[in-house]
Amino acid sequence: MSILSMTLSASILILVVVAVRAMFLLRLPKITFLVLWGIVVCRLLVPYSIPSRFSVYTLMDRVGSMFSEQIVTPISTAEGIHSLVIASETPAPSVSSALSVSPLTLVWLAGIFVCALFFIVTHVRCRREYRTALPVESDFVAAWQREHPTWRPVQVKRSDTISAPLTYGIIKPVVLLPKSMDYTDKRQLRYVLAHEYTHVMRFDTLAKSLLAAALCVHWFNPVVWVMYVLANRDIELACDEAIVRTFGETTRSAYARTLITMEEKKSGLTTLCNNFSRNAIEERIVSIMKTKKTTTFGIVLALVLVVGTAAVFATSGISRIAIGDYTAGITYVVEGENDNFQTTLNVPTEQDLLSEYGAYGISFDEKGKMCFNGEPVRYFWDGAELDDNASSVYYEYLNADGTVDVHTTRNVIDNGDGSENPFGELIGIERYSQEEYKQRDLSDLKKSSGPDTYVADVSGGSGQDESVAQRFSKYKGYGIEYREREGGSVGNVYYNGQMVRLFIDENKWGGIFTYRSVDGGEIIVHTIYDENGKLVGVEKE
Amino acid sequence: MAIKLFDSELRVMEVLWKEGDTTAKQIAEILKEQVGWSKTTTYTVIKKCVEKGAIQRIDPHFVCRPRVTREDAQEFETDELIEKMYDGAADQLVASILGRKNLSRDEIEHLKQIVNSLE
Repeated sequence: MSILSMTLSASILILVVVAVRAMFLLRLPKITFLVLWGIVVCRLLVPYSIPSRFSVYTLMDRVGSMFSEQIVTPISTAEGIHSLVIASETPAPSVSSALSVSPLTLVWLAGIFVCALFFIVTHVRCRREYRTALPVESDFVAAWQREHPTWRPVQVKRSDTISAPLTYGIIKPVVLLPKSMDYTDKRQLRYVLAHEYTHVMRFDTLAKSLLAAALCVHWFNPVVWVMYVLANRDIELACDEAIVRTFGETTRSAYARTLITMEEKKSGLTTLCNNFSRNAIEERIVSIMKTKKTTTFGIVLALVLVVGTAAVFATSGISRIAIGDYTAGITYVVEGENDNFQTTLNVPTEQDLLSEYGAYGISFDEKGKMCFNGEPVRYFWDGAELDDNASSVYYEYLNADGTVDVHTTRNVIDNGDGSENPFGELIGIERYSQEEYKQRDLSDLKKSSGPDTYVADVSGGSGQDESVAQRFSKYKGYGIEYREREGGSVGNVYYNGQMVRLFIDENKWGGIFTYRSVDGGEIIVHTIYDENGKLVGVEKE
Repeated sequence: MAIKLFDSELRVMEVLWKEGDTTAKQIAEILKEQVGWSKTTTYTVIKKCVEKGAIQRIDPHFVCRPRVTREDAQEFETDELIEKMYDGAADQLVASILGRKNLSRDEIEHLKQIVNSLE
């Protein structure tokens, strides 16, 4: 997954969380939002995603395919069927190679560097400052520490350089209290210590670091900044909630007052974002004052929201490579004088080919043979290498008398859901190296690599997501049988018991489905339709 | 000479006011004992004091000599307090000290002496 697709899908998720937060902030246990933000951070930092059939991206894919004329799903040759779910599971490195780093990528990396530097420098500076804090000489604090043993040693110190209590350190946490605090006000001290201890127990410092990391990586995305601010607030809100639950609801107003006292002292420093912090503190006070007992309904709603959001927005769609606007159907041409079969279904004309490849040095001589920069082409391949040593072919051309082998190079389009379409814009045509030319076995190409297999469905036709086995169940009544190999997704087709080398189903609307048995076979079978476009049988060629 | 010193810096100064000239190493040892600072932390604070002109550094052995007295520091803190809490009116501060319920007999006597000596 590229950084852009990560940031885009995460942005959608963030907006959903922001909306949920706006609607249910006071009604749900605050931990709900922490979990949701956790999912968001995973989405931002982990370049893998779990494909899910409930994903909103699967839905978009479906809806999208209803409106596009034809979806062609290429299926690899050698492997029989190749379901492209795999595509969504293989992350593409965001930086393709050190040699071809685009200027944009450089800007992005520079931004990460600057952001990270900012956070690290501030952190180190503060750390140095905080280390000069002094021990708190308060019996009450000492007693509190004895009563609240933690498995990480927590130090409580005081400093005159801060104006509000804070906690830092993940492994060796330190609670820092401002000097200006009233150390005789036991109630206030108790609230403050309980609050900071809750942060320690919940590893909130670590959570904040992760948020900062996500912000650094996605510094260019304003939506992520929104997340950063809100998630930080929600950490505090969840902490406040825990305090109110511990001390009981009767203490709400006293606790809120403690907060306001602390905040008043702090506000002298934050003139820059005073409005902002006022808004935040207001939110905190309201949320404290409205803390309610968690109802069963609340818990159920929270679970539904978390699971639902995660399943729908945090997953990637199961999509196949969709080649849009590809209307030529199957295009496969074998030229040669020998005994090999010719599948000439919707063979593109010279004109078609010229318009597609002409700009890159492809031409046709008077005999209609393809040439590349004037040299006769022996083998032409326009396709894409997929995973698992499989490939899918867009157009293939073979002429035994040619002297040069060429192939296209195309941009890969990131579909934005983790899958990729290898048939992006054509960017050039290159010769295969001399070595590859020598290695290529023509007889092999003619015999075993038949036409590439496509499923072309006219919209509104059968669903795209059907498996091969499901597809073949249609022809069962006509003596066709498909036996899947163990391990799935590839297999052999039989017609009345004979293994079929090539199965061709071309319907009235130009949709084509061809299938080649993995283990060879000897006959070619195609379907027969009546004039209404209804399947009426199959026959051997 | 008025210098604003933070608590941590005052902590270092306290050692010097008590002990006189002391090497940085010794200060670090003393403060490690007292407040649990690491050596680097103590050195950071000493450096800060040197920058502010509160400590004079004498080499070899990085001997620290206080350049401000305890009274200097107190005066500054008092001035700041008067400025901050009593609108610059020192008499109000005195009034508020005198108005406190928890002054002991001795303290009151001492205050009276000061007033008399100033007249």
